[in-house]
Amino acid sequence: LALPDVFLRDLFKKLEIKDRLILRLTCRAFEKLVAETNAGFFSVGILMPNNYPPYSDDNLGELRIQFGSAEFKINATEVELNQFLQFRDCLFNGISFDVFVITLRDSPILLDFVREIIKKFQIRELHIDSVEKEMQLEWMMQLMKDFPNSAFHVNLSFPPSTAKLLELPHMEVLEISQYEIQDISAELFFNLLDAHTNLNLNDVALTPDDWMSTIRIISTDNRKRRVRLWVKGSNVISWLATCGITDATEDGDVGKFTDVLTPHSDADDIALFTYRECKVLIDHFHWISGDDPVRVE
Amino acid sequence: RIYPLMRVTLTTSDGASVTVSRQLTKHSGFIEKAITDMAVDDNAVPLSAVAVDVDDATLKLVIEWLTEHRDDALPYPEKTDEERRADDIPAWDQAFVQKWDTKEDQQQTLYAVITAADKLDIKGLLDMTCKTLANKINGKTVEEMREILQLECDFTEEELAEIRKENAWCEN
Repeated sequence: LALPDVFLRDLFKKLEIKDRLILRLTCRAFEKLVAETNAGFFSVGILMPNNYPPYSDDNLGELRIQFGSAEFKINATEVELNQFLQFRDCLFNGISFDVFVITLRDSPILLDFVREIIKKFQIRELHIDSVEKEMQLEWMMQLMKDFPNSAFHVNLSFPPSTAKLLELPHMEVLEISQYEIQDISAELFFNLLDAHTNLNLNDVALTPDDWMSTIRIISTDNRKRRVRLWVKGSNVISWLATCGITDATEDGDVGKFTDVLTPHSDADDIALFTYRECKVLIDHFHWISGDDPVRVE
Repeated sequence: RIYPLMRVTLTTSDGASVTVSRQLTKHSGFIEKAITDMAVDDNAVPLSAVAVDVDDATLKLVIEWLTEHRDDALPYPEKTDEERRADDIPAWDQAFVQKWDTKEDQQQTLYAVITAADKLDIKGLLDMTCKTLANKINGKTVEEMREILQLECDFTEEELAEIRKENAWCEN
């Protein structure tokens, strides 16, 4: 078929991966064309182990790789991972993702595979999910160096040392979903707030003054930012008190705080208010919350 | 500068002549360059004919499309990374392509228009025909794709089996 090369390259960017797989079977010329063309843009890609513990270094079970609507399942042995890398080269010579999500495990084999397979990818936001250990954090940093032009969204599901947290490069989103740990200190929190655009943290030890400082910082920032904290309900009540908001406050404006809305019955569990450009939402909240976690964002 | 009243005569590869408004030809990078090379900038100056490597029947289809799209913004928007979607072909363009479905050589007509759009450097038409073909291919079997793209299978059975084995990594 004598179609212009430019046209075919554009055409191949509009096809789903499954269509590329079928095109490989049509004839030699198109098999070659599939390998030599860019697969275009996909909103999401995923690379994650399909199995959960127990797994070992030499047996990670199955890997799931998703490009758009096409899903590949690979036995994560060294031999099969290398075969899949060769197969990737038969499928496209480049691909773009808005978001690519990677879940790491304790396997140097897997890390090498991940680095190799995403080498030809363009990724706007690299999302590294469920980083469970210091070693995985180190690997995550290596991956981030491979993509200096990408934004990063990282979820840490363990409590790294303060020094390690302060070493992290700028993140579009930093989540620390740690349980059974001490509070994140106010000093560390403000360092993280300064370093990263969006935060999602548990158990932050902020005084009412720290909380007001946080609101002021966000309200004067031109960037669209979100800070989500899970804190004890009793802390939230004292934070609100510094804003002049109590269980007796009527909905409306309270001093510098506008559009104030607080729960007035057991059925309500949301409080809202606005301070300049900063909107505050408090969810899972009751005036007698005690130590129950409350989401503040 | 574009002079909308200026008319341009195009001579086709099969010897026909077609005169069209500059308002239409401004969408063709090839014709615009040819006119620029003539170094005329006055409505009143008669232009030499521009030879295009497109046959008369195909050029008529191209002119029909250009007439509908004469007011499209120029330059044609640069493609972004998000050019995957092929489901946003305007209704008029869809009907324009569907008209060819009544012809036996519908595929040939589509390919002739694609080739003409490429030769004449009409980015909007190239993009629309690209989406049309992508939609035709989408979700088809290997046999259907061969038919649409007019391809002959030149693999051995062993080679096909090997490719199918690799493709089997993909679920469903």
